[in-house]
Amino acid sequence: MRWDERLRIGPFRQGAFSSALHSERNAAWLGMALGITFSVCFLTGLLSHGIQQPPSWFVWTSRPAGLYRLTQGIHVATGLASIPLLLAKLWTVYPHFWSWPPLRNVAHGLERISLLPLVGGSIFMLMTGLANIGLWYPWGFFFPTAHFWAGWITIGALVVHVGAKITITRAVVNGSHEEEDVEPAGLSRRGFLGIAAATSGLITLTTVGQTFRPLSRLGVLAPRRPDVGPQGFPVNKSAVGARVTETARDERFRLVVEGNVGEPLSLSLDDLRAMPQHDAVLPIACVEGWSAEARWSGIRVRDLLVMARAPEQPTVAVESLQLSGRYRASELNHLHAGDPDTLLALRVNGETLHIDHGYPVRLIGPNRPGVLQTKWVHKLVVQ
Amino acid sequence: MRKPGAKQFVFSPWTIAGIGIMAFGVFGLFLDSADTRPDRWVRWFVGGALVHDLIVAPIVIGVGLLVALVPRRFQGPVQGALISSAIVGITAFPFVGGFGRRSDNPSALPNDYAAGLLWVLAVIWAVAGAWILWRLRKGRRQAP
Repeated sequence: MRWDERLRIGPFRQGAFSSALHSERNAAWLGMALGITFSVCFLTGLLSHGIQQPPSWFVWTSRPAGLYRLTQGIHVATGLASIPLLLAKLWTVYPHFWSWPPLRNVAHGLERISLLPLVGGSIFMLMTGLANIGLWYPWGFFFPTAHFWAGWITIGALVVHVGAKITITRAVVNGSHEEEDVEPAGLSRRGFLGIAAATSGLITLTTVGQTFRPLSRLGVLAPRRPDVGPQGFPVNKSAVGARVTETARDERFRLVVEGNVGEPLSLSLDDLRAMPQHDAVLPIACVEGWSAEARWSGIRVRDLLVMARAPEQPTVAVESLQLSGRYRASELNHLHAGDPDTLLALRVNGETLHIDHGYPVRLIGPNRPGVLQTKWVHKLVVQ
Repeated sequence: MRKPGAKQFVFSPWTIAGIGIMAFGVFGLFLDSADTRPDRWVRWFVGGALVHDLIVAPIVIGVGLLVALVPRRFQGPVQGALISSAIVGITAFPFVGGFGRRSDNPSALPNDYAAGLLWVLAVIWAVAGAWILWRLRKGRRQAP
C-alpha cells in the first residue's frame, strides 16, 4: 500500500460517508437559499449601521415612519430562518471536510482555504446574532462592531464561493447536473430539503411575533413580546442600568437648548407641560428585531427650535442624563429635526412617561433606531 | 464538464472581488480593534467552524446510526423529526438558558421558554406521528 493510502483511515476513507443526503443538488439549492438570506441580512445590516454611524453623504429620511422597523424585523427574522438552512447545508457538504488528499493542486488548495472564512463567518454571524437577541454576551468583544466587520468578511468569502460554484449551480438549476440516484433508507433528498424549509418556517412563526404584532401570540420562542413591559411595551436600558434614577427625578431638572441658537432656553418640567402638546403614534424599533407601537405626547422638536431661534435646516445633538455609555447621545439631521412627529415626549399611552421609558423627557421620532430614541433627555445642542 | 483550473479560479472576477471585500472586512476589524478585540474574536470565528466539524457533525452521524435501528418504514419521519428538533433546540438554547435576563428589566425574555420549546417539539413529533400513521395506512392499502 502506498504511504498516503495508509494514512487514509477513519473519515478519510473512500466512501466513509455513505448517507445519500450528502447530495450536490441539495447543496446547490441550500446554497442558493443562503445566498439570498445572507444578502438580505447584509443589506439590512449595512443600512442599520449606516443610520447609526452615517458617512458624510448619507442623510437618513424620517419617512416612512415604519421603514427602519421593517428592515430590522426582516434582518433578524431572515437571520433566524437561516439557521436551519446553514446547518442543513453544512451537513450536505460535510464529507468534503475529510477529503483526500487534503491538497490536490493549487486551485483545490485555494478553494479549501477560502472555505474557512465562509464557514467560520456564517456560523459566527448567526451564532452571535442569536445570542445578541437573547441579550447574552459570553465573549469579550463589542458585539455591534465585531458582527459588522465579520459580516463583510463572510460576504466576501461568499462572493468567492459563488464564483467557484456558479457552473455547477447553473447545471443543477437547468437540470443538466448528473447525480447518482439513490433511494435512501430514511429521509429522501427532497424530504431533507423539505425538513430544512419547514424548520425555518417553524422558527420564523415562533419568533417573528416580537415585531409582527398579528403573530405575537405564536411567539413562544421570541425573546421579546411587544406588549410586555412598563406602560405596555418593552424596555432595553432601564433607569437603574443607566444610573439616572436620582437625576431624572430631581426637581431642579431643566431641559436646556443651546449652541447655534439666537435664544438659548432652560425649561423646567412645568414649562414644558405648559407648551402646546402634540400626539403621535410611533414605534420603538430595536436593531435586535423587536418593535412595539405606542401613543406618544409631547413637544415638537421643531417648535422648540423655532422658540430658540435656531437656524433653518439645523443638525441637533440630543443628550441624555445618562453619563456613560455609547448611546447616551444621538443626532437629529435636518430631516428628523424638522419632522412634525419628532417629539420630546412627556407622556405615553395616556400616562406620564415611566422612568424606564425615559422620564422626564424622551426623544421619539419616526423612522429612527431604538438606540437613537434618546431617553432622559436634558440637553439639545444645535449645530 | 471540465472543472475550471487554478488560473480561472484565482483570477475570476468573483474571486478578486470577494478577496477585496474580505480584505476590507479584515482592515475594519483591526481598525476598530479596541471594540472587536481580534485576539478574542478569532477564537469565536474559528471556534464555531471547529465545533461544528469536530463535535456537532460527528454527533449527528452517531444519532444517524441509532436511527438505522428504527424500522425502515418509520426512519424518514423519525429522521425528519430529530433534525427539526435538534435545530429548534439549538436556536432556542439562549432563551431557555435565560442568560440575558436581568433583574432591572423584566421585559427582557419574559416567556417561559422551556415550556415554549416543549410545545414546539410536541408539534414536530405530532406531525411525525401523523406521517407515520399515514405511511402505515398506505402500506395496509397496498398489501396483497
